[in-house]
Amino acid sequence: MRRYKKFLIQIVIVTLIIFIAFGLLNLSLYKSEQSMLWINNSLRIKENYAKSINENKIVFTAGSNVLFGINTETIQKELKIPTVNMAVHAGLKADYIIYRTKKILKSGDLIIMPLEYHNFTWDGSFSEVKRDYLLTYDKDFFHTLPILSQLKMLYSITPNMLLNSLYKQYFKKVKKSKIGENYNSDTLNKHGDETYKKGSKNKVLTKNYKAFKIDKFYKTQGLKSINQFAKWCKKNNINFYISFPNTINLKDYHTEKYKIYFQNLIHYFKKNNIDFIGKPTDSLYPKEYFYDSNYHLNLYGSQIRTKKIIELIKRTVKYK
Amino acid sequence: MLFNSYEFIFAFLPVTFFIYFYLNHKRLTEASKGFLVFSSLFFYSWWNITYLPIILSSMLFNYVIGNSLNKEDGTKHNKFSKKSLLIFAIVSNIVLLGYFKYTDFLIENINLISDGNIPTLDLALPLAISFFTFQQISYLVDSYRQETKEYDFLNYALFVTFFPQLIAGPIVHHKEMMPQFAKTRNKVKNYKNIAMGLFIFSIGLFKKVVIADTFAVWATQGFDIATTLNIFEAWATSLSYTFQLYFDFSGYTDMAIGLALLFNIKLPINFNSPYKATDIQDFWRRWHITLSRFLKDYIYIPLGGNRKGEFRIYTNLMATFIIGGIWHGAGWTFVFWGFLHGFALVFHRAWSKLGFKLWTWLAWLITFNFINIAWVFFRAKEWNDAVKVLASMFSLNNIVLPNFLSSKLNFLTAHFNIKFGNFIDHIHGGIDTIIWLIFGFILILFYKNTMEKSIFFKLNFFNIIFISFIFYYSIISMITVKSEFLYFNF
Repeated sequence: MRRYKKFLIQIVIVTLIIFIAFGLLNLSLYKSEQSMLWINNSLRIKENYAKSINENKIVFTAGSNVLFGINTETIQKELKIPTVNMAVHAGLKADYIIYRTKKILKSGDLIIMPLEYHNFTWDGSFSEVKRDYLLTYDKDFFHTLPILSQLKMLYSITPNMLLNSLYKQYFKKVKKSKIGENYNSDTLNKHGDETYKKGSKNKVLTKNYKAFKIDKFYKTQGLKSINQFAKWCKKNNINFYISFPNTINLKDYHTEKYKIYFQNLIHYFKKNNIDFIGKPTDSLYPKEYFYDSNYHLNLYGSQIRTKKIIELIKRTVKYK
Repeated sequence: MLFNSYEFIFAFLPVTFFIYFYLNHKRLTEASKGFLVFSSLFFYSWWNITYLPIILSSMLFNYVIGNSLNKEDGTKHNKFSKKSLLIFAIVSNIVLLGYFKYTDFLIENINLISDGNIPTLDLALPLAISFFTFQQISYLVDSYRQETKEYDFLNYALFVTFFPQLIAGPIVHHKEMMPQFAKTRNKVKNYKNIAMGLFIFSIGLFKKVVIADTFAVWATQGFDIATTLNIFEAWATSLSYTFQLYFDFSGYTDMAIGLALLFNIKLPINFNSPYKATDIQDFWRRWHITLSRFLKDYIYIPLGGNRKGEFRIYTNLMATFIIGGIWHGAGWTFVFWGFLHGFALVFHRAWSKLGFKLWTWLAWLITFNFINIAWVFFRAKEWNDAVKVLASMFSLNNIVLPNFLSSKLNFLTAHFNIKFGNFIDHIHGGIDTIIWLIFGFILILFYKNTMEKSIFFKLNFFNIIFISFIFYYSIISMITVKSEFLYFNF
């Protein structure tokens, strides 16, 4: 029996050592440069352009529904106000998207944020995109996260992911993807809009998309981040409007369950004095208007969407 | 509470373990049993406390009837009464199960036949009802056969609710469990059993959260999300589910066996490398062994078994497997799956009688592919999904080969309309899907299963590293994936 007791103690000790060792290895060695490169390049390009504008501007930000769906170049022409598309990837999550956007905002700017629904419903759980981006390009922000979030991110990296990452770092050169092969910052226009989105890819048309998951309506981490950002904007004289994303018009979105969710969302914004543009059903479009995912409008879809948002801006926005 | 959850592994399990043995150490045997029943009911209620009265009333009902059946009484009149009582109790159990599991299925079919519009009840299936109903039916029959000793309600409650096997088996007999709980030696912590239990639990956890949940992604995409599949995607989808189901359910069983061992209880083996089977009968001797045992003892043999001639054997086999199919779920796809297996067993029996033999590799290939194809019906939510996957598995009209082959094989496009591209894109797969499928085959064919491994378990450095590493890997994998066991739905 004593041998078995000793064996069990050794298991506990070795397991603890493995936990600590992998935590440290993941923190110091894990990177995902190849897949995060286009995100980092896109953010840099967009931030540089935004910072170069001296007068007041209109900024659109969110995840890729805005990157693909809003043509800020057209908006600028129509409204005669410099306009930037800061959106890149919804997986960066509301808090980080807002953190990056704050860097380029100035007093008097107008910011419109049609966030993806899973950012409204985001409960603070970690996202793989955010983990990979932060550990590769923004460790400073990573260290500002609560310790539990940091640990969750670190330990979500499995040993084979770490090995894979090391192999890529040491044996494979990081290179930009070819246009059309993967997402690429080279296909952004000056304003930050994605331009490579002609037609609909087969995977959009042949997939059964499901509506985003909803449970009981509550003040999620996503909504808290929006609320805090709204206060920050007020304090800094920035005109902030939340809005709703463009996505595939699914039957579910017209059911009672989703109608109630949308009503709750709008009620939440009103209650917290957060201005909003349009309503969720304004930006639901047929599958054929999408390029390669349920949030990525194609060229035609984005033209329709942009026209609509211009109309909504003209109707709703009161410049302060 | 899931076995693969942090609250179970780091809170519920250690607390239950230490308090149970502490109470036993203080010689509070009844209190320790009571505590284990309470913990098991807490574990059960964690999902939804509204199901608690169902399991409690079912237990009470079956305990009272079982006790009456257990009383020895030789008079003819009472024997008749006992049989009536047994039939009444079995029917009551089946009615309860049927009400929750099959009412909506029945309504849907009535509506279909009569073109009616009776609203469905949308009843949620109480967790584990299929398992605790079968376990208690076996208790009633065993009591009728005087094969159970009399125990008090606390003992009976422990037999039904013991948390390692409550939710999805193994389905155990009263006579194989209760003597173990009664044994004095089993009331003391046994470090050998703890080491062995942790070893088996860790393997089960790894099988579930690392292997099964990886295959789950491709299976779900292929069955539920993709509207079209090419031939490779269809095979990858079906094989992914075949592996997912095995690693998920046998992983759960390993965890259950490992957990029970921590409490010095040995649960029966439930899986014995089923995909190594070389015929369908062999498969059912290796797959979900305790369910097969139940079906044989309480359905096949009472129907007449092998005793009433060849034709009756065939009809009995068919009936047993169709019942087995519908036990898994209320749907025609499950009935058809049961029919397929029943038919295969009948065919195998007839074939064996004729004395034909096949090469072992060919016998394995046919058996494995039959099982793989039959699982398509088992998994599909709708007939259309099953047809979609199966039709694509055997369609040569939609072949897509990987891009890297295009330079060498581009002549195929002109002659056979074979395309090149992301050949496994519709199920969100890639080269890793192929690697995992190969890995899956290696594991099921060339590796010892958990029970075989546990026989040769040694206290050495390799096992320390092995247990620690797979435990670490499983725990961190639970951060990203938190899925229920497939058999929780049945």
